[in-house]
Amino acid sequence: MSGPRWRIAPEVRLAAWEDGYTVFHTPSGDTHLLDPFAGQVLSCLQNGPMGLEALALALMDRPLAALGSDERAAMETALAALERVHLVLVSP
Amino acid sequence: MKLAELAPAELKHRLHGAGLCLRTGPFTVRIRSRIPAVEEALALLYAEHPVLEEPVFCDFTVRVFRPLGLRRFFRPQVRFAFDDTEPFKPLPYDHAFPMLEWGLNWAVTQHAHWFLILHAAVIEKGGRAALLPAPPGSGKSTLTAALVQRGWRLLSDELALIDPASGLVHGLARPVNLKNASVELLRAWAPEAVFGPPARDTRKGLVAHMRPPADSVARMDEPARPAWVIFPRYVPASPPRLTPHARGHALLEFARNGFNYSVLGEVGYDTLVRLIAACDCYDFTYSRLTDALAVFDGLAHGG
Amino acid sequence: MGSPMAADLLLRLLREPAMAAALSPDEWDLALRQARAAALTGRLAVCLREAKALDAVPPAVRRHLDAALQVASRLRQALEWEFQCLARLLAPLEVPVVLLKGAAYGAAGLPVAEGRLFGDIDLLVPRPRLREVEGALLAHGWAPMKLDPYDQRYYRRWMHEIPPLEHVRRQTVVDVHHTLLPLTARHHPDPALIFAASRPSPWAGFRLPSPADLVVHCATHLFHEGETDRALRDLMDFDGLLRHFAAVEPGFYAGLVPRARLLDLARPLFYALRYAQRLLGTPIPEAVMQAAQQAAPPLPLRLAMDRLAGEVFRPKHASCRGPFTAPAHFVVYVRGHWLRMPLHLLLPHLLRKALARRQPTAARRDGPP
Repeated sequence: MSGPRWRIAPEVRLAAWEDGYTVFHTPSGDTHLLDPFAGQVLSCLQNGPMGLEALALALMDRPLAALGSDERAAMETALAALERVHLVLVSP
Repeated sequence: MKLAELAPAELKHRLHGAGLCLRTGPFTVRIRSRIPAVEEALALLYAEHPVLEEPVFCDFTVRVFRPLGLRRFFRPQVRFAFDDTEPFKPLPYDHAFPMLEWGLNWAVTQHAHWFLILHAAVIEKGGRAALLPAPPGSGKSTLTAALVQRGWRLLSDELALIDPASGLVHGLARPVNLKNASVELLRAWAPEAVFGPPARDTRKGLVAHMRPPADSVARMDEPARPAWVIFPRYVPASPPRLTPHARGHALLEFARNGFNYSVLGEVGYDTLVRLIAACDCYDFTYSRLTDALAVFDGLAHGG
Repeated sequence: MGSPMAADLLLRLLREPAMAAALSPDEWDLALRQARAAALTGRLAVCLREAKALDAVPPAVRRHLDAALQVASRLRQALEWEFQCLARLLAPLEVPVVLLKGAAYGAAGLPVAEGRLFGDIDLLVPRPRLREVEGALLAHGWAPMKLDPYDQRYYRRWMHEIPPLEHVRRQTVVDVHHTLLPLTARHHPDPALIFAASRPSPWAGFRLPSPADLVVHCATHLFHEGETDRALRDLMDFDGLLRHFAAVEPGFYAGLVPRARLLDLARPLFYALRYAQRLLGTPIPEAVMQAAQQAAPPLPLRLAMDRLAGEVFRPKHASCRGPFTAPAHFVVYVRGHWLRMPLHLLLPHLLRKALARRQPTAARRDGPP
């Protein structure tokens, strides 16, 4: 499979609340509050590394090609934000 | 033996000498001070607390003292020592007892990492505890003081000690720190309440401590199960309003303001998750203490 | 307080952890307070744990020791995270970086890293690359610690170092060096030797000094340092390093003194070996002590140092103080600075520091939370 794949960082704990997900990353000691969408992205990745295609199916129940450009952008933005705070790692 | 049962001469002797050993909930403290105001405040505000006989292991050994030197006469100061070190800058002399109280809080938050220590007042009724996190100036101490004079048990006005293993919150039943108008408000609310002498400060105004109710002190060893997290906010002339507070945000606020949250790492996080999951979280705005009491009692009876 | 037995309590307990079973509640009270004063609470806990004596500790005391271990464990985690962050930002520079002192002990997983309160991360980089490394750190959220302009000049012009850098968000501190000692100091260990003998570490992007260099540097830091708050802790590090490497590194002791001579650091090694043996009972082969003896100072100076060492290698606690303790600390303080800088710089510097000490330090906070 070509294209980047994202995987959840080791030692991440996730809890779901009505206003989002709290996350604890043990190695950095950081605690985050994620909006529901970003939290769901991270939650999906708990099942294993995924590319955008697999993520679209897991998250939105539709193939990547069927998504609107803003839905796709939302996924990419969330992944970039999660990567920035070291919660996900990407391999090209 | 309670402090009230100690002869005044003996109290003075211990304070001036090897130290007065007291127990406040889970902690034993050895206090040394030659400052008369401290001796008086201890005798008054810790009257119901257990006194320990040496030789004993004390969790913390502290001292409040007047520094020597010319300063003594000009604008006298008081200093706080935790064993041999001084973590704070000196304060004006009449702040001796408040400094002791703040110093004891500091000692607990810096060392007692067998608890997750959150910045919140804790009160209890019917076996269930309400945690009141709030920034200084939000009225949380006034609210706490008022409620414990009307049937709620005081665990702490400042430190919520959560046991990671059991999820229970433990209390200290120490004096409640009040400022400015709150002191007069409480005197009117509860004429029987006992206060230590006030200290005046150009920055903060007036500071005084209210003695914890005898029942709260008697039950200091009884932990409680957290049931509510209530963010209080005093808004003048407003009706009481209890609205849900988003729990993810509540957790994050506790994490940010927790005293030793970062020390506990994942144990701290897991404890917070468990705490928040077990509690109903609210914002509470109010202006009248009678309204606040009614709402809190309503929660306690509601279940 | 102040009796000889009381003064030695922590030291005795560290040397014979089995004593734990026999301590009274007030002895535990004092031992814990001495340990706190010496920043050795975690170390005490580890000693007791290794000796299987933790169960003999009363629960009220035990929880303090466990708390200290928890703090140490979190600091270790933070250190390891910092290695990852630093490695990422330094990788493009392709510069050799050697970890020093506490950071090296942590990276190498040495026994002296257990229960330790890690502080600054000390890095050694080649002098020509210093500016580049500083630049990379500044570009990634590190900023010079708030020093007044005098201290900044002290570091840059006189010590030829850059001041410690603090990460804006994480508040960790990195101290970047290009030599083991300031250029103005009296000894001149050649950093090229350290790099040449360095070994890879388990952490990508970082190297470790050879065992002998770690030990010699520890001795140097011990005897060139004016601040004595951690003196006992540092001597215990030295003891711990010796015991560990004697057991696992072939030829360690045979190479130790020659290496110190090569680094122009034989004198501090002599002192460290002498006081570790006398005060902590470190088992050191007689041949090594004799070889080190050749770097001994003249007798009067050695006697003076013996006196100083007796006072300074104790917890900085009221129960351990005698009439000569304060003067001894002062002498060591001055000596530490004297070893770092020539006299014409030393006097104004000391005067300035003495005036600064009169003000409340920035580290102490304002009263109430």
